[in-house]
Amino acid sequence: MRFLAARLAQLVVVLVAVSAVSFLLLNQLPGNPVITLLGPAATPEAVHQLTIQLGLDRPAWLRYFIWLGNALQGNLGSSYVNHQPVLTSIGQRLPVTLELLVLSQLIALALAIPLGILSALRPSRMLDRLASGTSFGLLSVPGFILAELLVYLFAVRFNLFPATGYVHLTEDPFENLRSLTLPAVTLGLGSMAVYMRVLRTDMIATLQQDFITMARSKGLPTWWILLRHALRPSTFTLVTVGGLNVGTLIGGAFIIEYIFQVPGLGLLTINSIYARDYLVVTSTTVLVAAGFVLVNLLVDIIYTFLDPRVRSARFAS
Amino acid sequence: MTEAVVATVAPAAVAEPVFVERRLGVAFWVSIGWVALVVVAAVLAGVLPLQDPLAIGDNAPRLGPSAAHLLGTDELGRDLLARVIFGSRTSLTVGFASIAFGLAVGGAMGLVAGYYGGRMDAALNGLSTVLLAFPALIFLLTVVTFLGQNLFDVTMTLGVLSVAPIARIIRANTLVYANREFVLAARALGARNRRILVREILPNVLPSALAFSLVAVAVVIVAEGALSFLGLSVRPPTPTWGGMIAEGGQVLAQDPLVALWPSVAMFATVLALNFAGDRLQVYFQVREGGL
Repeated sequence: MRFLAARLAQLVVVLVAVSAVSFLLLNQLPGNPVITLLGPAATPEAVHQLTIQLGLDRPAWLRYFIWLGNALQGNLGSSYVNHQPVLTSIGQRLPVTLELLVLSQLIALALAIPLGILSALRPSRMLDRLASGTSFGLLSVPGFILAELLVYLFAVRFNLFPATGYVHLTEDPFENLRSLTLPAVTLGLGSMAVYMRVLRTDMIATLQQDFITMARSKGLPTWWILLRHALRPSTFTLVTVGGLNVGTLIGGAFIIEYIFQVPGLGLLTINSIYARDYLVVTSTTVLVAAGFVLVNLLVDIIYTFLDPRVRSARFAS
Repeated sequence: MTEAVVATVAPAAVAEPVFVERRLGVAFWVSIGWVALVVVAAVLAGVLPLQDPLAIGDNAPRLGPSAAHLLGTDELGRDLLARVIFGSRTSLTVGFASIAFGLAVGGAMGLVAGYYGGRMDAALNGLSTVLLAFPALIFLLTVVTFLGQNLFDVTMTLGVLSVAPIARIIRANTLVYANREFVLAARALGARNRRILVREILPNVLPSALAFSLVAVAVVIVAEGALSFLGLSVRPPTPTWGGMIAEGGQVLAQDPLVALWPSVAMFATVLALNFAGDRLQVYFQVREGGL
């Protein structure tokens, strides 16, 4: 319990720090939403009037505290540009980002778990060398290069998937999957390389332990030992790294969302930075940071299910 | 639960059965050679017999590779080989300079935090917790838009961002040595803290720090590439790899080579840095635990 309380306190500190930094940082940017709204040809009177109307004449720190006060009551304010409540835009964008995230992680795990297990079974053999080499290469491909490569292969040369755009799930589930395939594969391949490497290393260590020898001596089939005995205790690093990765991807899919024009949180944030839409950017930044901290908290809880020894160690302390 | 199991939390680390050779290998030297080649080309770009990377209209646009233009020309008739080589200047300057800054500042912080512990350690820990949760790209986008899109500001921003992760790693490495016998011996001989840090601990931490910084340079080159891909790094017409890839992305259907060459250059450089760093880490037996 004390562990949970400490982590939640940490969450609050991180969120306040992140929101303050991003809000004040953005307000230092040259340009402001008034210019975005009225265009460069606006008269000084109109600019002055709109500045007062939006409350932008007050100092940034005061506006931050007003925003923080409202945010604590569940009101994140409205966009300066299209007056849509920030909570509504986030509500529209978040499911898209989450769908992309889930798809990409499914692809990553579906490739990484079998490859990791098989590589660990016979280290330094053909399959292991091939898989390790490929994953090392994939780790060195920047996401935007991989995205362009996939667009060239699967959208330009062979017109299998759309290069950009997004079809909503309720409109057409099949087209929805098709429109998310390339971005999900781009993100998934990057994650897969990391996951495979850590699972392989842990699995090699597990396979040398006594209980595996014991299981072998009982004559259990290899696939049974691998899946039922060795896999679970080998997933510690995978869960840690996966948590960090998912936490980063909640906001880190910016460029991928931008390239494929997927209307998720990342695209919303980039466009709002360009428009100096302070409240939107601060809110999405806070959301992303909260997601990062929460996912890592979740990872710590998952540990207790993976290995009962963690549970008892924690209760004992 | 009938019996209280007081157990170690992590499964016991067992060494891989693979024989780790204490040799760097051919591939390592190929990687280093490639990085050296790119660095030399970038430094000598002004002297090499290259065409003007900015001149528009000297050549026909979208030429394929030929003897006159080894990599062909882009939409505006600019020589792609010249642009790739001049573009490497941005990536390399930002990559190496920002990590040099990160190593100097973060390295000092990590050494002090790991050796003295206490308040410095707590401050470093708090700082890196916040920094890690803060989406790096948002920070980059806002700061670079605010400071201006020039080489110095992009380098400094990425350098500042690299301080916390580098400090963490140096701290972990310092902890390994802080209580070793030779440190104790130096202290018993009357050495002051500063001398112990500089003469006893630093030489032990340095090799793994250098191995790690090769990988860090690769990370920064990718980050700068992402920024210039979004048009937020050094302003055009100065060629950058990320910017060239973005330009090429517009004409993928007509002329995929425009995007291909800078992509290959960037991938090869990042791969070489990653590989060399990885090999050096194994070579120096970096202890990654205890972070």
